Amino acid sequence: MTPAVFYILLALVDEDRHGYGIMKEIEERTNGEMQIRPGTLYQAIKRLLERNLITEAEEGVDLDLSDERRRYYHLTDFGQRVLSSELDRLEQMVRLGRASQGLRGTNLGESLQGVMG
Amino acid sequence: MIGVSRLLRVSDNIYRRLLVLFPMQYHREGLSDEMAQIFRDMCREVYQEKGLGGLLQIWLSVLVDTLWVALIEQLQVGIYVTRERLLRVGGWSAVAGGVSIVLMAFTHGGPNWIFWVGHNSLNFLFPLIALLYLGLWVGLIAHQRQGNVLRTLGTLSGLSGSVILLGTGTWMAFRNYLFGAPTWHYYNAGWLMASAGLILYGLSSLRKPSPASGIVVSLASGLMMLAFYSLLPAHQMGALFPFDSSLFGTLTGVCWIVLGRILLADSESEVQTK
Repeated sequence: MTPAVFYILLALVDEDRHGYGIMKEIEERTNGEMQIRPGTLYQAIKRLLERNLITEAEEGVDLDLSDERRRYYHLTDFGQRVLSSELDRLEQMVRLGRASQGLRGTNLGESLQGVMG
Repeated sequence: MIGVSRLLRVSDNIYRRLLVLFPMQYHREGLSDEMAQIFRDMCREVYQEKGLGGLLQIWLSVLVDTLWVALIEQLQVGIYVTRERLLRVGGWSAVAGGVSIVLMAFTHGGPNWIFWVGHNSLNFLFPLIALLYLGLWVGLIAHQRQGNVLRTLGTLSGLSGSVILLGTGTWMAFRNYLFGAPTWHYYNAGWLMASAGLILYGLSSLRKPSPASGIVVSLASGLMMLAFYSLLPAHQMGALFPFDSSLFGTLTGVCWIVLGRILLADSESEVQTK
């Protein structure tokens, strides 16, 4: 699963969102470190729709932005299961990394310091 | 000074045009409309917060993202070439080729008012015209709905001529730079075949009126090409005729441009039919 796909699924866990909403949510959750542009966003959305991980919810108007109608996206049950198993996988990887003998400290900065001596 | 809303509208229009690069599925399913909507939101927000600098920054990152994703998506579905696209390639090639031929006519055979640029510096016109001629044939092949013997012969002659022109034209362009001694034999053969190709194609349209009947102009193009080339001093035939080759070069160029317009009009009608 690519980071973009992961963050899109994560952005849809709490509520249905339109494209711009997904983009803003990802930016907010990652403190601006992950910025998705429209091309990458819709490339991922297209794949997710095709694989039934998300579906189109009803169209609506987001008055905070404009009075244009927007398509909202909804995380399916299958999408939730895929996201959960991806989280489990990542968690296991982190646990494995933390358990490694050579790693001092608990965050990456400290680990890098260890590597650099 | 352009107003803010006008600036954002122009930016939006340019982005929408860029989205043409995405596969048809994106347009059919309305994803491209949503992308344009998001881009508009992004621009509006960033302009309010950071002004023109922010807008330019967004444009740069979005441009790279758009071109990259469009390329990946096109490769994924396979490059799908429609008849309309082929006609458009042919049309624009003919128009650009026409302009190049006029330029070449004045450089190599005419009153040489453009000679100050340097004879050799315009040698790139040989391979360029050959390439554009090949492009013109892409359009002509897409244009013909029914074939006949003359048209097939014309197509074969035109395509072979353009390949020879491309090879020898490129070789000559370099050779002229390096040694200043062009070899014309093969280039002559290529040009004659190229002219014959258009003449045969034009004759085939005369014989069998069809949607391609407008291509009668190709007959004129071929004849003009023949006349133009026979009169070029380098061809050693210039002395036989007391005419200025730039006149025929210009006429050839005009014919190509008209031919290009016909192909582009056909491409437009193809879009409308859809």
